[in-house]
Amino acid sequence: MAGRGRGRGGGNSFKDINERIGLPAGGPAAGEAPVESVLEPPPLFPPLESRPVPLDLGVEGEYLLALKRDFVEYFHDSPSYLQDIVVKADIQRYSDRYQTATLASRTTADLVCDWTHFPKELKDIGSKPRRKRKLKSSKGNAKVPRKAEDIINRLEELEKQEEGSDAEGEVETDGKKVDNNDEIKDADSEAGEEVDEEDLDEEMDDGTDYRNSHFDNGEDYIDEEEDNLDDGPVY
Amino acid sequence: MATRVKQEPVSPTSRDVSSPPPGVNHNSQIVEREQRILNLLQKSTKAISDKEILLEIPDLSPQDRATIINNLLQKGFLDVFKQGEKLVYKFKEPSCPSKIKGADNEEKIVYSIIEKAGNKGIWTRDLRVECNLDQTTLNKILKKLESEKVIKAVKSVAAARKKVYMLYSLEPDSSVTGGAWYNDQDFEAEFVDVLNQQCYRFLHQKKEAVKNCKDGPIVAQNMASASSKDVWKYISELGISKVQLAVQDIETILNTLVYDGKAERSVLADGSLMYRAVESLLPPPGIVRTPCGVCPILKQCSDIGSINPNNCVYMTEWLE
Amino acid sequence: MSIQFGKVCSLILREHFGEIVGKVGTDLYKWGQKPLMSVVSSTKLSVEKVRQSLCILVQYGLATFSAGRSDRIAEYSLLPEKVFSLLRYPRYLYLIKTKFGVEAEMLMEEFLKAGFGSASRIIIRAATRLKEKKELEDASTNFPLLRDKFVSLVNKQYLMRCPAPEKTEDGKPSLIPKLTVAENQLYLPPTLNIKALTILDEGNPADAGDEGVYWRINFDRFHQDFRDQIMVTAISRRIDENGGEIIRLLLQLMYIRTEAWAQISNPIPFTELRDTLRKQDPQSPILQHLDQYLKVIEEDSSGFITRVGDSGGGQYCINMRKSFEALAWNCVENIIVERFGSKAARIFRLVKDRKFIEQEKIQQIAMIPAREAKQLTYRLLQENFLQIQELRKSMAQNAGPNKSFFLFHVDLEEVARMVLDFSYKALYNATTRRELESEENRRLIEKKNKVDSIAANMRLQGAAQEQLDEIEEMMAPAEVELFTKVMNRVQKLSEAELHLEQTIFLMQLFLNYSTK
Repeated sequence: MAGRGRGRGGGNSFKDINERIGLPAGGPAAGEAPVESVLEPPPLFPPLESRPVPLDLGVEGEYLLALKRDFVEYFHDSPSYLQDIVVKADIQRYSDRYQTATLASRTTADLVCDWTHFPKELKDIGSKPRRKRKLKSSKGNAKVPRKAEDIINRLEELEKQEEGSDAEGEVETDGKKVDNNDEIKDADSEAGEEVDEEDLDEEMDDGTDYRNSHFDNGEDYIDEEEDNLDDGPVY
Repeated sequence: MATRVKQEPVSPTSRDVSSPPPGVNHNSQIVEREQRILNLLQKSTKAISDKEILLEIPDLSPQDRATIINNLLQKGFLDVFKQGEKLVYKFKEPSCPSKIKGADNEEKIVYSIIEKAGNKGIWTRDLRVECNLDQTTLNKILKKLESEKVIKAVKSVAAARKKVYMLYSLEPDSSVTGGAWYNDQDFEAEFVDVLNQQCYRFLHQKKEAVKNCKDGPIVAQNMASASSKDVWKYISELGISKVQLAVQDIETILNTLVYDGKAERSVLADGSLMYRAVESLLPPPGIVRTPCGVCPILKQCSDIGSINPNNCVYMTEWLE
Repeated sequence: MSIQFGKVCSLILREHFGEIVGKVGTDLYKWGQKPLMSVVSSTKLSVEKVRQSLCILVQYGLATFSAGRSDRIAEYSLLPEKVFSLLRYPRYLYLIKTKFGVEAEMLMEEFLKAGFGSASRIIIRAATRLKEKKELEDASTNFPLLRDKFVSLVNKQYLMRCPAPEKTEDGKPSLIPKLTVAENQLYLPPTLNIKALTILDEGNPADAGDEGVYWRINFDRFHQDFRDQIMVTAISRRIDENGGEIIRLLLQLMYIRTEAWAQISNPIPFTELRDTLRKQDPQSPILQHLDQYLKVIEEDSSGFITRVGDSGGGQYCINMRKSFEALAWNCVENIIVERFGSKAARIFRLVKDRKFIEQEKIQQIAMIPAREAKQLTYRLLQENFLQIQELRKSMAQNAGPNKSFFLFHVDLEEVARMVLDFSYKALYNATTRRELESEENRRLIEKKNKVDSIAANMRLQGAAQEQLDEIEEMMAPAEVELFTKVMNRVQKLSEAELHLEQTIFLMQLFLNYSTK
């Protein structure tokens, strides 16, 4: 059978069907539209033939809407709402970031109620860099280039102390190929990453001196910000 | 088709001395045979062909056959039709000769075909095929018969511009006129709609009347139901119809109400139809409460392109 | 799964959990089951972010994991139906509120906000919120009440136990925990030590008695309730309130003897129905005519119930599949009325009734002028509400145009799927437009919110009227007017979304029943 030509039984085009049931070609419009003197392309949004039925949910509906708003707001404010927080160089944003940090006082890690219900790989939120460094230090490899901020280093030291021996144990017993590959991949990806993000993650951990000291200043900052909003940024 | 059966030339045969002179015997033989063929025609319910005639009278010469057929045709005892390549003959009662007084055979045939079509009539084209006359001849005949008020032309609703012919005195069948719903070829859509609305009003009122019925749902439902006769009575009394409507006509309207989802029909034990107004199971769904539900260009709407929810004109209008 | 549905799911995730979780969810929807690193590489997000996203998705029951090709690599899959259920949270909560009261509502709200959690923690949180709401001195007075409500929610199966990780050989948690729960454990209420709750509430460690036992919402149960509501409302409209009440009773009795999502219930004897009704409401006006109502409901064209036997005064079955078929028809017809007009709907119902019918017959029986009838039929065909079947009169190939004729028919399943997709699209559009309206006016909205909250604070602190006026003046009247306009638009779109969700629910139910 030749590939060319229209075979019978291939989907009938509407044109065929139109002709057979006796409608003018081109569907209803062609037969109806009066020929106007000015020919122009049909409007993109032709006038509506009928209006939508009015909405009516009643009191129940209002309550449901309020509930929905509450839920969405809650999720927005909770640690389950992830977003890239872009850090700008001016002072105002810097404090703004900390303000956000104080508002979202729980981390994603806190969200999880029981880690035994999750795959292990998800548990290590924010800890990969520490693990990696541990691994590298134990192997004696070169360090990954990092921003030389004293604060971060101090944090790391504090956290290492907190971690205790557990992490070490994991590194050694789980030192199989797959995990190594994961970690090397992580190293590559994180090297090229916005380090600022990680700074933020780490700084969101509880109980660091740095954060606590800022918390005290929080309220003052809020007021100052209010004024700034009205007058425009102060340079 | 020729109105005369062609006579074939007779070949001279040797005479038989013992038989009576061929002329006299032949004539009476023909008369006798004509009678036999007539009986044969009468007996058969369908048309007979030359073959059947020969079966009946095996030694009938084609000549004689032709003579007989023509005689019978003249007297109006049969019709001649063409079936494929051959001719067939069908018995008919010789009808009132007065109607076709002075008419020739051609007219007679045309007339008989039209007569047979009864009150449904016959299309011009079909007529032509059956009588096998050419267009001009046929037209002449038709004109003549029409002017004599023997036949008439009726426009049919089944196809515009086409006519059917029927005997003058007959009332055209409703399949031709369209019945109550057609006024001279035009479908009376408005009339039908008005009837539809009135029927619904009647049923709805009945339903409302039983709203506070305390006697249980079956009683309530029975009271809310109306037979097609009840509705017919109501509509007739309203007097909104110029034409006399039959109960069956009203039933047709009531059925459209059922298809509108506004009424339900049930059949009683005696076969009569009962109708009652019903409420839809659901309120209008969510989609048709938004512009998208009535949007003619929904299929073209997407994230990319000039038709999208963010610049939708219908949305903007609806939101104001 | 359809593209349109996927888009809606992405939107829902974005709205609730942000862009990043949205990306991860979309990736999983598109590609199905995949491991963490695969998500990382296709979304180009950081490992950290993907980890967090997956945590969030798993915590809220929107995704699951299992050991994939290798025992050591977990593979994650999205649960799109669960994602869609996020839209139903307000309805779930409202149901609990009306059925069980405000304490149960608090509990349920905490569950919705937490995903899954232990009874003790949830009760404590709910108690705190109740305290705030009722302005009580002490939250602990609520504990017994909350505990009782918790138990009843479990008994009624609105809450169920989470599957727990299986014990591993070495007692250490496995890389990819396998979560299971025994059937008889699912709805076993927790044992709680109320005193311990008080201690915990004060911030001190204590053993509430339910260590390691977690609970989550049984959405299925809610969906049963929604389903029942639809049926009751429909019959109430069709017959009357009493009819609706009878359906409600029949459904109640159905649960005792039939599996919840069966296509047709097991027979329910009339005597049992009558006795149940009598027990619930001895004065009920329905009692007198119960048998009549059953007859009327049974004879109605919707076909919700069928009488299957005569013992026990009559045996009745609720036919779920048929009910939802009738409801789906009704929904589609209603759409056609609005979208194409009542004449088009008449044609549609006619085709439905006759199963297969020719164009000629349609205009004859529907009593619509030939031309209009053809146009409407064509339109319905084009928009896929009608389907067409060609029948050849002759067996010859390439026969001329008069040698075949066309019959119209309706394939309800196909139409339902189309309507469902169409609803997803409308939902997507409404949400997108709503987000646009909010986004475009974000500064204005933020400003108004700030002004309002400052004013509220000041009022609480007893500020003077002049101060309040000053705050009010921070917003120009034109701004306030615009704000109100924007809010109205957002409200309208949200309402539309709620409505749409309900239509979607109905159509999904029908398709579930019809494709089993």
